[in-house]
Amino acid sequence: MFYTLESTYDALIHMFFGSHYAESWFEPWNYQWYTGFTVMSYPPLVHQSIGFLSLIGGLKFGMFTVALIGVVLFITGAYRYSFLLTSNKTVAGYTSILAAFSSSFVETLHVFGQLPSIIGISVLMHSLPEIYKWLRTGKVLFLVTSLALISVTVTSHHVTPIFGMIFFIFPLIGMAILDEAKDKLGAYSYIRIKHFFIYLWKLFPRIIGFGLMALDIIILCILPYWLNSKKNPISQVPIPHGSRDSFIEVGSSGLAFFLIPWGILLIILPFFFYRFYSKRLIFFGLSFTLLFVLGTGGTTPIPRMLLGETAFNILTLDRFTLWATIMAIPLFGEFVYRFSEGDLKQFIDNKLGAPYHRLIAGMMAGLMLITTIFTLSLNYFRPGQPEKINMLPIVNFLHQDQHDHWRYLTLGFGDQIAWLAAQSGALSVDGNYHSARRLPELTTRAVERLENSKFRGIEGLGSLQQFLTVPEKYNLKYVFSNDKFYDPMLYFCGWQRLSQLENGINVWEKLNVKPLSTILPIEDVERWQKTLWGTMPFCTVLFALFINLFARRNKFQEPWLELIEPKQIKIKTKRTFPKFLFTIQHLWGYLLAIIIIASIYRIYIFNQSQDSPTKAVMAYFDHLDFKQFEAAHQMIDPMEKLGIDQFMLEISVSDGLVNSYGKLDSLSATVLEQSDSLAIVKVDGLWISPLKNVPRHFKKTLVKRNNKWYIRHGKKETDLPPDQLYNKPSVLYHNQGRRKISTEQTYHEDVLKQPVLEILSARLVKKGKEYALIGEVQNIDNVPADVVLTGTLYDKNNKSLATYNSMYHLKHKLMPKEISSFKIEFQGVAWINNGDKIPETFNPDEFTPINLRNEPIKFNLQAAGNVSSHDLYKDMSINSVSITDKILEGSVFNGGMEEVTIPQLILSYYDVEKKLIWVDYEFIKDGVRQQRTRKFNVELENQMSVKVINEDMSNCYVNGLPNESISRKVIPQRKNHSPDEILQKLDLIGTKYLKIEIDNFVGNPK
Amino acid sequence: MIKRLGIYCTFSVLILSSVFAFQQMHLHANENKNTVLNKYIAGDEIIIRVQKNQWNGKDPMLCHASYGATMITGEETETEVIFKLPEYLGRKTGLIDWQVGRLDGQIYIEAQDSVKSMETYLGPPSIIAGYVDYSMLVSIPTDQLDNPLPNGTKVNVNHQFQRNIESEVTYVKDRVAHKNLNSYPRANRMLVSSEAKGKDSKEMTLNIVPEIPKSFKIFVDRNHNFADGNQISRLYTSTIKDKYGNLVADGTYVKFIIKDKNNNTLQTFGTTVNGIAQANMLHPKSYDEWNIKAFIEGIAESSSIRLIYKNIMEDFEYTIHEGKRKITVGPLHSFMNQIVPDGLPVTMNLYQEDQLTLSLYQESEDGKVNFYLLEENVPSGIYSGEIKTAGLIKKIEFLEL
Repeated sequence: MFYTLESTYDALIHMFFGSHYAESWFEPWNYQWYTGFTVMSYPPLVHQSIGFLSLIGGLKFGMFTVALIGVVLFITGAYRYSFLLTSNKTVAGYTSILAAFSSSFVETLHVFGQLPSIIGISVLMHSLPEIYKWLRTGKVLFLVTSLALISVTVTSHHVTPIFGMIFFIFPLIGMAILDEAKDKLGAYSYIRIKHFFIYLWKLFPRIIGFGLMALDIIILCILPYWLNSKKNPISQVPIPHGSRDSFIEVGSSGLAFFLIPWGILLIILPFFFYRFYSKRLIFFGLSFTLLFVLGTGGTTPIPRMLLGETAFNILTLDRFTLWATIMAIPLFGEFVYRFSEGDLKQFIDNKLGAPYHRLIAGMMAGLMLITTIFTLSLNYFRPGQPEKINMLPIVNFLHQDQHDHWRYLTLGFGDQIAWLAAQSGALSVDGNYHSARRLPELTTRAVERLENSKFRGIEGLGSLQQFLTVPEKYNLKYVFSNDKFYDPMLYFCGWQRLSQLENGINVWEKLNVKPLSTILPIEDVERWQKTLWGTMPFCTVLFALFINLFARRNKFQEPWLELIEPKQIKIKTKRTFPKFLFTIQHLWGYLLAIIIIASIYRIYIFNQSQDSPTKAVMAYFDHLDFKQFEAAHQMIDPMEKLGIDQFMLEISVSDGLVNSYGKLDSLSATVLEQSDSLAIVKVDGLWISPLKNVPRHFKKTLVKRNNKWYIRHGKKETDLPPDQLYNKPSVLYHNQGRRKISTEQTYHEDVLKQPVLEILSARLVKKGKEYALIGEVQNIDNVPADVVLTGTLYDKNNKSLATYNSMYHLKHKLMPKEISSFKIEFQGVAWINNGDKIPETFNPDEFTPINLRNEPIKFNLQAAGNVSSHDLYKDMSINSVSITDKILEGSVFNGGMEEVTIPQLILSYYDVEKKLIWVDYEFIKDGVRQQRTRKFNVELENQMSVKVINEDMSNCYVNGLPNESISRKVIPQRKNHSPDEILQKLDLIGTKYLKIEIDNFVGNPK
Repeated sequence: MIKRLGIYCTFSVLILSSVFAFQQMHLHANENKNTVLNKYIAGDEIIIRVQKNQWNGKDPMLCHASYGATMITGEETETEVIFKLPEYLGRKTGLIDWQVGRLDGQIYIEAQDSVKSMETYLGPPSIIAGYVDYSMLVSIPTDQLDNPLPNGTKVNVNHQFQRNIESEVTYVKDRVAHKNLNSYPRANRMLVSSEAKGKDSKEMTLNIVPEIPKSFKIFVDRNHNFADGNQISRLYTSTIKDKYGNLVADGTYVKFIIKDKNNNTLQTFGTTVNGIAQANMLHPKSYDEWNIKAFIEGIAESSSIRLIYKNIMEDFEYTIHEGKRKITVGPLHSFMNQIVPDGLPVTMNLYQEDQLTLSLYQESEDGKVNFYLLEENVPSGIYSGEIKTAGLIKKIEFLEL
């Protein structure tokens, strides 16, 4: 447990909640996540216990202690529940041991880390005998004990008692009625349907009494929770969850949410159904069947029909499987008991001989052990989480130099963001409890966290892009990146790298973001709610402990034992094990074995990649995508005699958007021609990168040797760079920041003057349906500047319609006197309307034009400059250019000292009068190494549909001052900044000149 | 006895005189009916005494000060009522209005006559060289209790620029003293400080940065004038200066625009170091004429220069191998008959009835390029072709495959 729990999905979240309670027990508002949320959105018991215990030995101590308590409760609960069901102490003993090793429990605890869920179900199991006793005896004390336990359940997990009511307590009531009937009639075989109703009527007051009071308890104990969910209904759009997948189609989900939780239980499924459909347990049988079916998720349409569309999309269905397995555990215990020392053993011994029995026993024990160990180490085999990150450097960074006066964001941290949040008081935009979030940018997306947005395709990266483009809105200044994938996006959104922390985490910073205000918004609740929330959970626990001890002391235990003792299972052991059941069980076992072997064989065949040219090509690209270069190399024609060293070398020098940041999304291969020994295959692939989708097409020639298809590697680039060693003088900058070592606010004289920018031109244009602000901005100061441009649109009544920042259409870092064209697009929050269809495939270029209430007429443009000393690489030149028709062809040459990973071309279109009318950009797919050239190829656009709406620049401001006064003062006699010489002639409709600018992203600066 | 009496007398005189002195220092309300302004020094204890007969026996005193209004209850003695102003009111300079019943008066508290600290601000921290731009030094001499000194307090402003050290005088007005510091035509650093009543401020730095650049010249440095695509032409500027002769700021961005023979616009960029910007350009791969001009966009331009890059070869050979499906181009020789460095692009186009059917591109290796016309790409038939490299085109009129 100590090794697994920390790397589970949820445990750290619970720990974070625990840290919240440890800090402010009675204040439910938490500022740290999602610009503030309330912890009243999750039942508090487990979190409060962690928080309470953390005061003694720290948060981890708290969590492990609570987890240990959970395990103990689960084992004892399984014992009591099993005893209730099977009325046999030996069986119950078996059960409790098996329960601790059952793979569903192990998975829930060690892989998912759902502590509240486990405590909830354990306490629920404890409460079942009490409820049974109340129903049978009608003694008020039992009612009190059962309700006390229910209240503990509800304060630890709200879903458990609600569904537990349906799936556990209803069948229990049924069983109690049948037991009552049996006591009166003598045996179960005498019971008919009418008897059931008679005794139902007899027990009805007790049932209703219990039911209503339990409902009251459920509502009352966590009343603030219900009030909160009423006030803030979960507006979150459904987030995809593996448990809703079809387990056959998505194998990994099938493994995690079906195979593993069922584990060994799957083999004896027929036995469960047989036993559950015996008369006494018939209601449990129905419930078990229902749970089993619901747990299959999207594999069959039944769960969707049963639950309805909404509930299906909100609930995670894995919990049904968990409950089903827990429900079946007593019977598993019974099976093992009967198998190891009961009638089944005798049956097999007689029929098939003792060795066979031992063989099966050995196999089953082995299988059980393997599944348990496999589940325990699932995180090791398939890491669901990034490697454990040492948080201390980040915590220190946040606490240094008032960095916690801004919000931060983590990327690629997995669930460890909760651990960071628990350790540091700093505020994050993101969070890990998605039911609680409130920003529409997040709730409208099916994105779990911004942090892992790359796994959520367009929606994820789209959300992230918005946060990174307009960080001022959220006071977001620092990004901790544990994943290189996001680097280009950060760079082109105008962020800059700070130094790497000791733990290898990259810190990115955005300039011109104001710190958080001292007083942050809070959604306050009334005091009684806070008091209730803070005191109720522990009260329920104390009361439950007290009342149960009281009940034991008064020896109320005895009548219960008598109630079921007579029906000891001994009767059954006298009977022999039913033959048909054994046969079915046997057949089922073999069937399962066959299925497993068949699927393993299928996987093996699938991996035989070189038996057809298309498969070979697909496998080759797959290997490259997963960076399995050795495997890829083995698919290259051996006759080419391409050494692995050479192959690796060629790969290592090919940097760029696709090679370094791309992920293969889809790949298709079509055979153009094929003979016995040769094939030409056309490969169309789509790579996803943080910046755009990159479709790439290849023609690959394959040859067949020894019945295997091999790929012809083809020629490598032979171009040699001119110089072996070369130098170039350049300017480097360093900003000291605070010159005096002091915790005070930065001294006035250490604050750098904001570099003066000048907006040379700005126009509001409309192209198609899209509005944009375009123009040119120049750094007219003597220091390099980081540029932030914010545009606002106004309608004719001067009402503001939309505000946005420039994103990719701008060189964010300008050297002194450097000009950049810009375009500000006004993006809306995508898919904010429910009716909008969310595209199924990922497209980072996806652009959602904002839905404006009115026609924009005027604009306001704010330019802010800040001294920047990073990412100022300007040594790329355009070495050749030619335009034929609409195709711009050319090459860039990297004459400097750094390897440019992603070059970006910013294309400005001008009309006949040399006025800017549109701005576009294009990323060059491959990186450019030092003194190398790289060709590019861009399709230009006609600009006939661009309409200029407004070119009045009176509302342009630089660092808060009017642009006009600046331009008058600094450069009174400005020359034409776009003369003929600078522009490239062009002959397209609506545009006659083109300006090309280059921005360079250096992935690994020296 | 007499001695003792003398002591008593002296003692009582001392007490009396001190009481008198005390009373002199403090205000007797009845003597100041006509709202005479009384001055205090910040930090003094302020007591207002009102004759009992002028007081109705219950009224508190109402004080208006810069912190707001406050009520003060008096302390009765046999003859008068004493109103003691809270300490915090006496610590801050400014006017206090008071009122008891029908009596009222004003008190003015002045700053102490010594300077504890000089709060100085200088902004903007950098100004443009020349005669127009200026920065402002704002100095606030304050006393022990953080009160600004009164109007007319003399403040000396010292500034050093190169060898010049000057001192100017300014006076506190409305709590601050300020001085405009005019720029110099030389770009350099100016150090500024101020002093009042013997208290000195810390050193402040004012950077005088160069004016906008003036036009400049550009030069080229290249190894040879052949278009081999394998050498670097280094373009650089003359020392770029502003109109006062200052070097432009390091890092100033210079854009070199090159118009090639087809009037396409090529670009390379440089940032200045000590006024000189340098940019690299790879030689073209075939004959070209470059017209180069550099810009500091919208601000300054350079003269233009014209460069010609000659072809590295006048002719090249190719061989069509037997079976005609392999064509070797080369050996390719450069301008002094050396083998061309690797990477010279060679293109081969195949036409069938004037339709382009195949275009092959390769880069030379060891001066050679092999084109393989594989059957799967080029079915048998009659073709014509052309081979392009280093600006030369060779036609293959008839190629039967």
